[in-house]
Parts: sequence; structure tokens; C-alpha cells
Amino acid sequence: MKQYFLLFSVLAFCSACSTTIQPWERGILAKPEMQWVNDGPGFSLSNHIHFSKEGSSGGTMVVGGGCGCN
Amino acid sequence: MRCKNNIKKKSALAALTASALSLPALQVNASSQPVDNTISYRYSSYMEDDAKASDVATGSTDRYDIDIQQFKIIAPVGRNYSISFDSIFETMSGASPMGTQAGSDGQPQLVMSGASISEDRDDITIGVTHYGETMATGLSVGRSTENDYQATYYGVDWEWEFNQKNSAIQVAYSHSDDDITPTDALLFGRIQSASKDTDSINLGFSQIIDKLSLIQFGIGFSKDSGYLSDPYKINDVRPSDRSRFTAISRYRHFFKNSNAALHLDYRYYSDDWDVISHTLKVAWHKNVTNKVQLIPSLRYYSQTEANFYEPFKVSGNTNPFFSSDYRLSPYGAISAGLQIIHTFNNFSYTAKIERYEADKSFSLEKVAVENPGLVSYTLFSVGFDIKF
Repeated sequence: MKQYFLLFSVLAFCSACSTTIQPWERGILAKPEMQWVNDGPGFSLSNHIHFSKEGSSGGTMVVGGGCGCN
Repeated sequence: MRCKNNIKKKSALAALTASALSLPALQVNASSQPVDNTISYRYSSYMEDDAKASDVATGSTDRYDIDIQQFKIIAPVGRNYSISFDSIFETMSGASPMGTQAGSDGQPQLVMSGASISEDRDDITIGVTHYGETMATGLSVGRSTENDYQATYYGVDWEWEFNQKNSAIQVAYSHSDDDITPTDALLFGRIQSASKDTDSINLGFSQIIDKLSLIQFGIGFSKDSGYLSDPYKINDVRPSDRSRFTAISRYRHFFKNSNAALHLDYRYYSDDWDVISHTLKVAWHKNVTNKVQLIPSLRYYSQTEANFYEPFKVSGNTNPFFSSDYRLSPYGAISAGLQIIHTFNNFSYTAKIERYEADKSFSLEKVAVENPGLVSYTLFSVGFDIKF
């Protein structure tokens, strides 16, 4: 519980301290190379391959089912 | 003149607002309706390195070759909706590790399947998203089908932007029902049919730091329940549930002098099988020209072993659970990739090569015995995107 309180405190601090950027100032932030994912299909494929080859998964917030990958 | 300039500014503002922080619809954080219809196609092929003959006790040394075709459509609908269609068609062939045994030197050796296995997997996901002034809500359903494995899944996601859209909170929930009917079950004494459920919830927070930087934090909880063992692996008996936790952090920064964006992604993972992993990915999205982007990337991965993992089964071991699956063993992996994206007005093509190598020496912790089934592979991928 302490860790979650600390986490949300950090997030609230980030939100409060950051400079407010107006929509007309977000030209660079809107560039494709500044998105969380620049290549959607490539990102999905990487997640699937790592899910089937490694012992851990998750953290991507992407919906998907399992597989019998060996 | 001033009126015309104001109209132009508002149009530019609308365009910037629409595209700022927008993401592919299958990602949770799609806070803006897509402007264009987009069709994407990718063909990828990756080949696992053959097993070393000295690491194989019986069976083939050939590992898997996998071919994948992806097809995706995202389209705006009306003023406030978008729909998406996402499909993967995968063909796998090769031999697979069935287990391990002690070699003459006491080191583990692989027991591989003899003949080459050939399998197909089809996966289709359909999604719809509604965009409000400050909120976006999405729903997606999907199905994955193989000859011996079927998964039906759905997910809901929600995003709320606040602080003049400089901050955003994301929440996502997904559920999957998986059924397995192992091939040749009676012949090899495998379970004839089994099922498992997976529930996941993810929470995220994104923040614009300045005109050049973004940061995102997230945590996730997931639980698998049901048959979690691998019916194709000898003596493989795993607990009937698995609880997982992830924490992620992502950072994006644009370097004006280099005309390039730096991507830093980190994930911490832990579960109640005692597997703990760290994943760090760095990518440099370099605009070589205003139409060509080169993206070198590096990924580092390290995991600890599951508490019931052993390199091979030892008589007298009283643990009710056992697995010698390399995916539950301690190891590390490094991958390096290079991608090119070339854009022409509404059309772009992409090509990528990536090399992945797993080895005990890459692990953050000292590993006494390396599992001989660790996988290394080379991936090639080509594709295109069309906007209209």
C-alpha cells in the first residue's frame, strides 16, 4: 500500500510541476516518431514473439489471447 | 487578414490537437479519432537457430521457422468513432523441445521431437472506440485458433485527458478463455482437453513534460487460472494459477539538432512462480530526410527461474511441480534491430531486421546451469501502410 501511495504522489507531482503545453505548441509531440508506438503491427508482433519465447509478459495494455506457442 | 489568419490558426490547432498523443486504435491510449483510413500489411519471417548437436540427446536439431502475415485496418466512423480490424496468420514448422535429460557429463541435454511439426495460427481482433471531448472508451473482441489451441478474448479500455490535455489516465481490463486439445493425446498419454482463464487490468498515467518530451508510467495485474502445464513437455506439471505484476515506464524526447526522437522503455515483471524480469529497450528514430526514417534499437532482457524449474528431473525430488522448459529457466537476452520507414505522401513502406540471442551470460544474476533449449533467432519483416 505504501508503494502505491508513493507512486500516485510521484504522478501528482509530475502533473503539478510540468509546464502546461498548449495544443498549438505540440507540433513536435504530434510527430509519428514521438508516439508511444510508431509501428503498430510491428509492436504487436514483437509482443507476441516475446510472449511465446520468454517467461514474462504484459505491461503493454494491448488486448490479446494466448497461443500454444512452443 | 487577421480573421483569415485566425481561421488558419484554428485549423492548424484542430489538426495538432487531433494528432497530439494519438496512437493506433489497438493501443489503449487512443485519445483522438484517427483522421484517415489506414490499411497496413506486414510479412515477417523469423528463423530460430538450430540446436547444437552436443546439446541434443534424441530427436531433430532443427528449431522453428515461422512465417507471419499481418493485416490491419483502422477507420474513422462518423464524428466520434473509429473501428479497427487486426489479423495475424502464422505458419510454424520445425522440431520442438519435449524435455531434458541428464547427459553423460551431468549437464542437461534436449529431448527433441523427431519429425518436423507444422502448425498454423489465425488471430483476429475487432475493436471500436468512442472519442469524447476529454475521454475515449474502447471495446475489442478477438479469437485465436490453432489445430490444438483456441482462445477467445475481449477487452475494454478508457482514457481521460485533463490538465488541458497535458495529462492522461488510462484504465484497461481484458479477459481470455483458452482451450487446449493436445494432438495425439491418447497415443502419448497427454491430457485430452483442458482450459484456462486469464484476467488482466492495467492502469497508466501519461504526462507531457515540455514541448519535446513525454513520459508514461503504468502498472498491471494479471491472473491465469486453470491448466497451465505444457502437455507436450515430459513430466511438466505446473501450479493451476499464476499471478503476475508489471510496472512500466516510457520516455520520449525529441532532439532538434539531430532531428531524431529517443525512445526509452522499461518493464519490471514479477509473479508468484518467483519469476522476476527486467526489460529495457532503447530506440533512436532518426529522420535521415523528410521522407526516410532509420530506427536502430537495442533490447535487453533478464529473468530469474521459476521456483519449480530444474534443468532436468532428478529422482527423489518431492516437489509436486516440475518443468525444464527453458522459458522458466534463468537467462538473459539481447536483441539488436534496424528498421527503415520510407514515406511518400499517403503511402509508406517499412523493412526491418532483428537479431535476438539468449544466453546465461546475459543474465543479471549468475546462472550455474544454462538450459540447452535457449532460443536465438533472426527476424526479417517488410510491409506497407496506405492512408486514404
